[in-house]
Order: sequence, then C-alpha cells, then structure tokens
Amino acid sequence: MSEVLQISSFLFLPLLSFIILIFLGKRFKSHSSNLALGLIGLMLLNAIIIFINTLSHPHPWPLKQSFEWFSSGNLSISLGYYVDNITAIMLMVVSLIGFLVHLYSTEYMKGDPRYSRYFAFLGIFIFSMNGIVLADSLIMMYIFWELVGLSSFLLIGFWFEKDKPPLAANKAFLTNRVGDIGMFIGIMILYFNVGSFNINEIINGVGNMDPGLLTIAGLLVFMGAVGKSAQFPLHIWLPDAMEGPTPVSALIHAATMVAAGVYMTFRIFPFLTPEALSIVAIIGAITAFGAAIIAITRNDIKAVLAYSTISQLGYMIMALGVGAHQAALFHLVTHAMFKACLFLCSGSVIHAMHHSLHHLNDNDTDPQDMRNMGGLKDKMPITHATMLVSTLAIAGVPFFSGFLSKDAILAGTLSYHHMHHGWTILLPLAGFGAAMITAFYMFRLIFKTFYGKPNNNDIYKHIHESPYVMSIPLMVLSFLSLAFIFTLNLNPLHGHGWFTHLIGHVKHVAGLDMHLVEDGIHHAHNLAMFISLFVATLGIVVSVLFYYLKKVDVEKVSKLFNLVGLYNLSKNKFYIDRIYNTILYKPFFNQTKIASFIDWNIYDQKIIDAWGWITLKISKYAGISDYSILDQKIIDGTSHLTQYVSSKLRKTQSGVIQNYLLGVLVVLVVIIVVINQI
Amino acid sequence: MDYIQPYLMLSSILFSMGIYAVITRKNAVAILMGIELILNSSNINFITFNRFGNFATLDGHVFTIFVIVLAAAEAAVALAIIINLFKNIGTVDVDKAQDMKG
Repeated sequence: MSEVLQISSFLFLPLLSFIILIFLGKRFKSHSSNLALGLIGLMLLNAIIIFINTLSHPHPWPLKQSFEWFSSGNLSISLGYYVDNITAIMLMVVSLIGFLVHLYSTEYMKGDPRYSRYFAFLGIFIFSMNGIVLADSLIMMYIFWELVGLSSFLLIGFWFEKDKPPLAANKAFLTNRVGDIGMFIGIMILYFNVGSFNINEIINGVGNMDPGLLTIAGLLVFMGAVGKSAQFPLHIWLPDAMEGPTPVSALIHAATMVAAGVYMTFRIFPFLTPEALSIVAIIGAITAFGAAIIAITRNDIKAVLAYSTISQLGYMIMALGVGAHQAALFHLVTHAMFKACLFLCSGSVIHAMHHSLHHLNDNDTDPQDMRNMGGLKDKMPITHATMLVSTLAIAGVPFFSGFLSKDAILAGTLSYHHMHHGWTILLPLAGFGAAMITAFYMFRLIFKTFYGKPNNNDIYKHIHESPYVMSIPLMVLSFLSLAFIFTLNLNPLHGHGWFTHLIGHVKHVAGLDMHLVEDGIHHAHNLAMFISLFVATLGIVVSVLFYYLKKVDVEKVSKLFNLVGLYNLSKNKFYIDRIYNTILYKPFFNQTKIASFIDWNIYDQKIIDAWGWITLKISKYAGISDYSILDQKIIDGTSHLTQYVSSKLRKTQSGVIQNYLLGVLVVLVVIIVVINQI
Repeated sequence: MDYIQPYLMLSSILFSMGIYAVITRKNAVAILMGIELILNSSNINFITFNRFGNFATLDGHVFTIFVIVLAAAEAAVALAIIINLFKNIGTVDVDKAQDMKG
C-alpha cells in the first residue's frame, strides 16, 4: 500500500497545490509560492528516492498497479501506473525542472496581480504531466494528455488582458486538437483489435493484427505526438505559445509537455511497424531541419529558442523513427536540462530588460528583441555563463551533454541509411545540416545578446543581474548540462555510461530487428561523431565570423542567399502560416460566409420571414372576420335584438292594474270565441 | 215567467256594468262597487241555473249565500286596503298608485 501511496503522491501533491491555491490563493497572497514550492519540493524528494531506488535494481520491478475505473457491458476501463526505469527518469526530470521553475517564478512573477493563480496552474500542469508519465494505459495517457493541453492553454493565455496571448492559447489548443483526434482514433483501432488499452497488453497482443492496419493505427496515435511535440505540419502553435510567461515556456514548451509526445512515441515504439517508423523519421527530419532554418532569422530571443525547441524535438522523433530509441530518450533528458536552462536564462535577460525599460518609462521597446540588447556579458555574468554552457550543450560541443545525445541520434540516422540506402541519405543530411545550423544560430543569439557593444546605452545602464532565486536554477541546470553527469566518465567522446544503461533496451514486436539496429548504431558511432564535431565547429566558426569578429557583412550574405529565395523562406517561416491561411482558414471562412449567407439572407430572411408575413396577413383577415363579422354583427346583433324587443315589451308593463285586467278580458273573449269556433 | 233569457240578460248586463266600472273607474271605491256588481251578477246566474236546471237540491242557493258572505268579507278587506292607500298617498285614485310600474 505504501508503494501506491508513494507513486500516487506524484499526482496528489501538485493537485493539492492546485486545489488549495485556486480556491484559497487570494488569502495566501505572496505566500502562495511558498506553499506550491513546499509541495513540489516534497514531490522532488519523492522522485529522488524513487530514482535512487531504481539505480539499485529494486525488487519487484517494474512497479505496476491497476484499478478498474468503470465498466459498461464488455468495456472495462482501468486506471493504473507502470513505473519502470523510463518512468523514474521522466518523474525525475519533471519534478526537478518543475521545482526549479517554481523557485525561479517566485521572483519572475513577483508583483503579478494573479500571482497565486499562476502557481495553481503550474500545479495542475505538473499533476497532468505526471499522469502521462505514470499512465499504464493509452486511455489514461489520453486523459492526462488533454489535461496538459488544458494547463498549457491556461498558462499561454495567462496574461489574457493583452492582445496576443489569448489568440496564441487558442491556436495551441486547436492545433493540438487536430493531433489528438488522430491519437484517439488510433487508440480505438488498437482497442478493437487487441481488446485492451494497457500499453504492455497491446505490445503483447499486436502480433495478430494486420500489419497494414497496425501501421495506420500506429501513425494515428503518433499524430498525437505530432501535435503535442510540435512536429511538422502541426508545429505552428509552439512559437506563438511563447506569449506565456517565460518560466512556463521553460517548463512546458521546452522541457516537459512538448517532450510528452516523444515519451508517448517511445512507449508505443515497440509496436510501430517499420513503414510507420520511416514516416516518423521523415517527419522528424523535416521538423529538425526546417525549424533550424527558420530560427536563423528570428530576432525575438524567445522565438529563436522556440524554433530551436521544435528542431530538437524533431531530432528526438527522427531518432525514434530510425530505431535509436535510447538516443531519443537520452536527448529528451539532456535537452530538457539545457533548453530549460536556455529559456530561464532568456527569462533572466527579459526580466532585466523589462526592469530597465520600466525604469526608463519606455513601453514601446520590445524587451525580447535581441536588436535592443548586446554587451550584457559584463552586467549579467551568471546569466551569461550559464547560458553559454547550455548553448555549448545544444550546439553539440564535447564535454557537454548535447554532444553525446545528438551524436547518438546522428549515428542512428547514419546506420539507418546504411541499412536502407536510397532516399534515406536525406535523414543524416538533415540531421547534420540541422546540427550545423543549430550551432550557428545559438551562437548568433549569444553574440547578439551578450557580446559586442550595447545597442541601446540607456537600456544598458539600468540592466542588473537577476537575484539568486533566479540564478540558482540556472546554475543547477547548466551543471546538469555537463556530459560528465550522464556518463561519470572523463572521456568526452564516450557516450555510454550509467544513463544509457538505465534506459536499457526495448523489445520490438512489429518487425524491426533491434539487434541489427543497435549494431548499426554502434558501428556508425565514430563516423557520426567526427562529422558532428566538424559541422558543429563549422557552425560556430561561421557564427563567430558573422557576429563576433564581424568579418563578414551579414546583410550581403543574406542578400546572396536571397538570390535563391532562402533568406525570405526562413524569414517568413517557409510561408507555412500563410499557406495554412490560404488553403485552410480562408476557404473555411469563405464557406462559413456562404453558409451564413444561405442561412441568414436566404433561409432566414426569405423563407422563415415569408412564413411570418403570410401568417401576419392571414391573421389580419381572420381578425377582421372575427371582430367585424362574428363579434360585431352576430354576437352583438343578438343582444341588440333582445334589447330592442325588451324595450318595446317594457311599455306594456304600465303598472296600471286596470290595463292588465282589460288585457285579460280581451284574451278571455278571444279564447271563448276561438273555442266556440272549434 | 218561464223563460231563462231575461235572467241571463240581467246577469250579463250587471256583469258588463261591473267590468266596465272596474276597468274605467279611477276611484278605488268605485272599482270595489264594480266588483260587487260582478259578484251579484254571478249570484243571479247561480240562482237562475238552479231554478231552470233539473236539480233536486238547493246547491245554487247555498253558493249564493256563501258568495254574499264572502263579498261582505271581501268588501271589509278591500275597504281596509283603500283606507291604507289613502293614508299612504293621500288619494284613492288608483292611477297614482304606480310604485310597481316597470
């Protein structure tokens, strides 16, 4: 029982935080963060205990428990948890980053009128994220999947009194819905063919399924991940989601929620057929490369990071597609650390910019625009150092975690090409290309923000380093971006360590030979490492030439690229938003306009109103006949007649008895005469 | 005098005169007198039919005596009504007693 309690505390601690703060938050005021921090801290402690237990090979393992939720006829739905090494890792990541973001937010959100509600929303997010991680069945995962969607919606639209956040929140919610529909259909196909929602039972039961149907079902479930992990073509919501508070971007839209798609794909990986996996790989490759290109031309510091997140998520999805599931999860964890760090650093910069602008009473300058920054290195040393570390990690420089995990993914793509030949050469090309571009645009961000001369001296004067509450999470996360942490091995080029061992291996049941794949990855490892080292160096060198030494005129280069339209493609995000606008939204709006025209102008105005008109006319004549003829003539006529007759008859009642007597006499005589006649 | 006609004619004349008095007279006392004439004309009829009919009894005579007694009583009541009428409206003219006119 204590095991159930320990596991379920991951759900009820954040839920408690949510319930208390949403109902009693106003009373706690600025103390609401302490309460949330306390509860999430307890959860972090719990996660650490479970994580350490995991390392010592506990028995029994994995922990699982399932309770029937409800049953209706043959349908029985149960909720339960399944805790294996992967779950323990994910719980650790969510709890740790969740805790650090809570800590960071206490300072970042200080003075916000809805301070307690912010922490309440963070609570419900962590509750639902833990639900996804713990879920042992697809249906339970789907429930929490929707819940993270809801909390993401609430947090993106947190500053709902501004113009953009509510729109961004709607966009995120609706785009995710497209993916979730597919996911639900996929879950139902699996249920009707296997007869269970439980992931392990599905993995054991798909052997009898038609491979074609299994491919379709797998891809449909994967659609959920395409939405949630912002993969092409549903990636459009994530850059807009940056309208939310920056700590939220770090927690939800970089480290955890968007990684839920990767986690889910990891869970269903064993029964994804090779055909489905190749499509997964293509989507991942397109996303990784395309988003990296878009990131080059962003000027908003958070937009760069948003596209970088999409690109890195594309890497993870591509890794799953080529069968390198270990690398995918490895990259998920390392990316969670360094990307959370990057976002929190950018938050620190934005915070400082915001305060400086506030000091200057300047409400027009965009505090997120890199063109207003520059030279912040000396003013914000801690932020600069931590951001540099995490940038080195994402760029794939040895000694930092990103190098190991990205290297493993690239090895996976190379081995995939080695096995399949043909078009698959595009996968490693996209991977290495994106790696180079990543190194380039991340250093562009660093140089534009922290190096060079300040672009605006007024702002620069009032920039201050953020307080320790904000810089401690940065330091912790940048420390966790070191490669040493994940290998416990001083050799920077050696990726295998306790962490990859912890992830372990997965048995594939839908026709992929995992031994072959792993051998291939192992062989491709060295080649991948050399190429990735080369491309990362290339990217960094180009970036240094462009933005640090300024040896090359950036304007000229962008014009050169624009000769083949590349610059404008990147600047306009491959016109994807515009394409959706043209092929989806506009036709849809036109259709609704036509429908509205038919409904209002024709149906309503002509047909419905015509009935009204006819009824009006008929009732008018009915009214005339009723009142003028029936009422006035017949009804009133009867009474007029009665009145007239009675007025005549009244005269006979004279009151003179002699008259009556005379009448009696006359009648008597008449009667006698009449009787005599007969 | 073995004919019935003169008696009936006398009775008819008395009756007609009584009716005429009742209908035309405005004076209540005169009307009362008319009623007496009508009663007496009926008395004559009773006697006449008793005399000329083949009756072995004296029923007609007895009826007549009853009628005379009733006429006396009726005259007493009627005169009391007329006195009350005079007390109430100050005259015995029946046209003035119109309270019941519709």
